[in-house]
Amino acid sequence: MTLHVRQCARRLKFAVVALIVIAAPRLSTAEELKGEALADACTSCHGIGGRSHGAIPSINGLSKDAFVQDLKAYRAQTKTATIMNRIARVYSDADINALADYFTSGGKP
Amino acid sequence: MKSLTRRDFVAASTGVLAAAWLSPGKAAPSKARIGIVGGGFGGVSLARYLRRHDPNVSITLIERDSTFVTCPFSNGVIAGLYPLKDVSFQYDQVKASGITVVNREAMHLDPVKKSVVLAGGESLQFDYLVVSPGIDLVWKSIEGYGPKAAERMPHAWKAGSQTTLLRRQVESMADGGLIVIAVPPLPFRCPPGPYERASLMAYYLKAHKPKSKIIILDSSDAFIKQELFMESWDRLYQGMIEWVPGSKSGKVMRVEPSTLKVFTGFDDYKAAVANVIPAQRAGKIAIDAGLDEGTGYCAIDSSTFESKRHKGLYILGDAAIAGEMPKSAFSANNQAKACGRAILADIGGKPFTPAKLLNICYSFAKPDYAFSIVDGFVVTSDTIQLSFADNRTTPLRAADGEHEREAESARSWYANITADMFA
Repeated sequence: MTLHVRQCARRLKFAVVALIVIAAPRLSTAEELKGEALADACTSCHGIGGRSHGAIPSINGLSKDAFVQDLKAYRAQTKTATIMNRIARVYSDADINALADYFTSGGKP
Repeated sequence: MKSLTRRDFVAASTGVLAAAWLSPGKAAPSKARIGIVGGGFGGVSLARYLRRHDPNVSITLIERDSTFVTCPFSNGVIAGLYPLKDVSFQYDQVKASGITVVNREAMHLDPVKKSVVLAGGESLQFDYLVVSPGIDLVWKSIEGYGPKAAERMPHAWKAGSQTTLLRRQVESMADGGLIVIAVPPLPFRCPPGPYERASLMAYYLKAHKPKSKIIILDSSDAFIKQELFMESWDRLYQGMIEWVPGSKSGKVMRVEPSTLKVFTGFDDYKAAVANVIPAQRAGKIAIDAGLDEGTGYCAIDSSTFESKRHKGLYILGDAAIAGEMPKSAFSANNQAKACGRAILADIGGKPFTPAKLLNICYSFAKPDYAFSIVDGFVVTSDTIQLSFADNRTTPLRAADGEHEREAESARSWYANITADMFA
């Protein structure tokens, strides 16, 4: 199922890039759109733009390497957190990359 | 705001012009009018999301109440941990962010014309209409129960005066009293809510009225995070909380408000405090408009939350049939963002990238002891399914430190999600 979804997403991405190039060069790229679409769920806990109040860590302003490394470590269960080990399982490598790009580029709203 | 004045409309449209003027180089301002019925987790999250992502669209939020009291964290009010004002929010910042808030009750909506009739008879017309009305209580699900009975036997399942009423009853109860919590059949708002309520009530009783007991009369035979709740009751509240499943005559069939008696199929209980939660369905305005097609909840497209019957009409939160997503504040907030993304893509003729959907839900056993469930979802063409069924909850036999950290995370989550909406 996951693989199927990813394949669809990849196909969609090509279609999206093509559309954007033809229609309006100022629109977001497909990568940005994907990062944002994934990130919306993160911000329900980590705060808008990844800026958190309280115990949940802020996730904006990290280096991309640190962001990717952490999320992959949570997924591999080699680094423990309160709940991120359970959540990280839903993200593919490509998802993690897109999320890292989104949150390390200043975390748009 | 008592009535919708011409000035409000002028103010809103001036905002649109100013925003367009301040962002030179942007495409021509979109004139799309988006109406949102319901100022709760779905509606407010959507309004703020839309405004953050598009300064040009016209956004009107229609909400009867001037204060929003959150159901999340309202069980702490019932336990006396903090006052109701700590879980109450005003719409000032929503208005200040460039959203027209119409503080009136929406009486009727036309799903085809995308129009909403307000109390008083005025009608508002939109291009996109989003319905996020929460739940309606099905009074008839329990014989003898109704709005009047709820003044003696509060449901406290819509936070506000009912929450305060239940708090007062628990507070004035004599030591040794019996609290009955009646749990309705699924699906209902906040599936772990009744059990968290029992836990936090027990926390209060243990300190102040230790001879008292709580009995949970359940329509179902199992509940979410059941093992974690029961583990915490064993550790913290031994002998104080009894749970009666539906198969052992747990389902409440009838109540008698004058005597505070609660009847199941075979047994009856004389309560000192009766917290009777009736069955639920989508908010009345959605039912009246036929959006539920007789099923009690409304069918939606699983990635956009657009109604399956009416184009340009969207349904969010508790009122929607969202596959395996539970009816929670977190779900409504996530759905709002997915829906907002879909609406803006439609307005701008942009490609739509479906959002990732999650649900994360913490429950408290006491103020420094919480546990959680984490749901990731896969959106298919016709439903929303859990992406994994295993290891979703805090493990059993976790150390106290773990539960403390979860409690801190839960408070942080609440601060962040309410800031997303109201700050």
